[in-house]
Amino acid sequence: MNRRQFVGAGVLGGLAGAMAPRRARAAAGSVSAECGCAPMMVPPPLPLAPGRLKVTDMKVFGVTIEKNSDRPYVFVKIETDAGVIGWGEATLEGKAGAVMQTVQDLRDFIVGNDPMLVEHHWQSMYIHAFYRAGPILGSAIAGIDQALWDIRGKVLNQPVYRLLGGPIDPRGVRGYYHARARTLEELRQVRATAKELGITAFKSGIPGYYEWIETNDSIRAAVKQLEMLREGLGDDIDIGVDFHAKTSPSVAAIICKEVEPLNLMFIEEPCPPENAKAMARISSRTTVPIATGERLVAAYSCRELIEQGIVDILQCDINHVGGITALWKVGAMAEPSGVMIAPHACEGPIGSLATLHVDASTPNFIVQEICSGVVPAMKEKLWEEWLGFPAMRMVNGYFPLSDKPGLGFELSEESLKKYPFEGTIPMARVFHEDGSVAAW
Amino acid sequence: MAQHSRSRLTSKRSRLAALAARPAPNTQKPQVAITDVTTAPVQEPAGGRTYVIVQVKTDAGVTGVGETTSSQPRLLVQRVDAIKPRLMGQDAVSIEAARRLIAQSGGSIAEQAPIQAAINMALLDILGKLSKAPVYEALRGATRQKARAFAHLHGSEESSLRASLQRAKAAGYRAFQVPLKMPDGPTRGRSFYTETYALLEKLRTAAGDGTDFVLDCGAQLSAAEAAGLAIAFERFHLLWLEEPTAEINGGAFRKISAESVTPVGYGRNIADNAGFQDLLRMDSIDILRPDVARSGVSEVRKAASLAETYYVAIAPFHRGGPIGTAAALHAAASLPNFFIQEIPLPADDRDVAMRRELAGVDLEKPQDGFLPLPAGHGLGITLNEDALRKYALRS
Repeated sequence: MNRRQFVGAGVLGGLAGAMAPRRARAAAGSVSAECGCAPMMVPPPLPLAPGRLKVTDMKVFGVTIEKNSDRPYVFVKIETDAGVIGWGEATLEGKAGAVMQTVQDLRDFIVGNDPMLVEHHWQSMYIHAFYRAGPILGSAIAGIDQALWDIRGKVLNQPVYRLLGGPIDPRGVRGYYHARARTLEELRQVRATAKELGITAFKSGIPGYYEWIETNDSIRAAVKQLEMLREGLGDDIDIGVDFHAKTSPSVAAIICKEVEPLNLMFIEEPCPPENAKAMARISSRTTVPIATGERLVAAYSCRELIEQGIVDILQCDINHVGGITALWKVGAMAEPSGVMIAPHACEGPIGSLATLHVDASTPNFIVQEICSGVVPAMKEKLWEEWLGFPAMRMVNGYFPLSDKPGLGFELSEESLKKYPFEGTIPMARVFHEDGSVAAW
Repeated sequence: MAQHSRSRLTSKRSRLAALAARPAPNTQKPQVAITDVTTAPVQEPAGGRTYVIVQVKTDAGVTGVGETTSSQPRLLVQRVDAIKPRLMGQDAVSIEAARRLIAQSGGSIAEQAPIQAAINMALLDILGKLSKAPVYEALRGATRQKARAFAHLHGSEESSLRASLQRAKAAGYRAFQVPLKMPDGPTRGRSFYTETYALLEKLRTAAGDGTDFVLDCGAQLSAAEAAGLAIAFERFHLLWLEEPTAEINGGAFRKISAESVTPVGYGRNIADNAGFQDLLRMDSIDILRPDVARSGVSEVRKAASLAETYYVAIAPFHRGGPIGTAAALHAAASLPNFFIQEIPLPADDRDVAMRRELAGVDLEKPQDGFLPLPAGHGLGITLNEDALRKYALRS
């Protein structure tokens, strides 16, 4: 088995560095060559070339803004010896403690090392984890990755979207809120407000829980709900509908086909994510654009969907797919196949703002989510209190882009002190009428 | 009913007001704007290699340089001149906005690709200079400290190939691309396979231990011939078999990969990453070879992102000049799945000197098979305007 000796990556061009043998062969007959199960030596810290920035600390904060919540925020702060700091988000519903611990587990990958090597660190965190992917590792990497991008943008004195090739549209990033309306009248009010504010898209859901085969009543209720959305919001507003992976392909296909005349913008997660072929049973039988991706980790997990032409829209979430580094790759991979991105964002302000940078630089981006209503509520006011501007609130239907370096916002540890971590509860557990496990 | 009409009228007015309030696209003045785009075709004195240097000037006093190749350089110059008005006054840093502008200018993807590539390099050069960092740093930071390289050898029979090999070896390369020699006669028979194999073995012996080879078929083979050649070379352990067949027949690609474990590379004629997605989708490619003069740095990076999910590396094709080398090295240094960079071996020392003179730096001196990364801000090139005139392509 050939092994490459790793030689420090902090060295810039021109410096030959220690020239370790390119193909170091393990000693003949040694056990470690056969199975790699002999304990590996901890590699020495990366030798930093003179003048390179160094990470001095990495802190992770659990932030509780609402009692007994399944979704306290997890923020990552990285500090450097030049005083430049970066913030990232690693929020994962129901798993805050596990993610915070995973960020701590990754400490040695980052602290003492060069923060500018964002791709290199991503590769190491993901590949050297050995057990790849999974949302807990993905979210921890995401938080660290976003913070490193914040730093590199500040060091290079560029907003992150400029480092990614944007902005494509100087108006900003087109977005949608959640309709959060239960009746036709409420929907009409949402529409009226939207028209005043220049908002052009909304998302809503389907009611209740679904078994793998469903009743006539249940299917009629779902279809009626979607018809009401179109009636209330009007023909000139784009409508996304989130099935939240509640339905089987069998049930989803029936509903999708029946609502084709509504010309929805997309139907999201029409079935659970593990089985790409199952999703193809839906998309192959309807003209409604199908969207999925919020639970996918790393670009690898999007390959099959793109390769097989299964979905129209990928909705990876920056806080889980693996930060800016990973989300950009998803967009780049999707582009040649005519697949668009409409990233999911249902957590805190940091990840949402970070997503805008990727959106603004991705030609095949279509629309950005924020899990907020058209009227700002407590959470939105809190974000404005922390960041000093109405984060993730649209202007004329577009999220504005900051022209400040890095991710474009400042956040102080002090402002988070009022919201200490109070643990997490699991996500909602729902059950069918007969007591068996359901999905919401 | 009246209530319905009223709310309709109100909402229609609100909608019109909202539309008016929305800024029209591209009316905001960019922070750094493009003020000129110039082209200069040049030619190497000894070997005649031709490429076109493109410069993008800005109102920030920073100029970016890019490069592309073309079999019709004068036509390329005309095309750039025709596209130039679209770019004037536009954002000099937004790679993707510029890409869209050029794409809207008309012409096929193949026609636009060389211009897209050169402009992309120039805009990244500007981004790096404005950020006071090498392009690879601005993109993602270094993923490696040096880049493996191979030299494309010249010659059509053993003696000239040996001479070319010795020159490349003396220059510091440890990997070499051998152009496949097609037999003169109509039959290709057994001797085609045995003689090609024997030639590569002789070259390997001449190159010495620790060296590697790519066999460049130049798309000259049929599907079955290519499959046969791939099988014949399975134990030789070529790095890969390059461009075995023309990219017009998906069945051909599938056949070669299905019959043999010899890795296969394609890309010099793929101007759109959709071509790479198709090859990957068909399990028909082992290493992506996008031409840096067609894809530029950004599209090479996107192709690499796609390939990464298939556990496939990239090795950009490059038969141009030293600015193309710089661009390729910055892509390599910012990618996790770069494997090796093709460097066109200059015909002789005059051409080596010309490339160094033009770029203001020698980026093509491998040490034990690896090239150091470019230093300095942007691409790390200090373009020599006198050299543009001195080596200008003569009709």
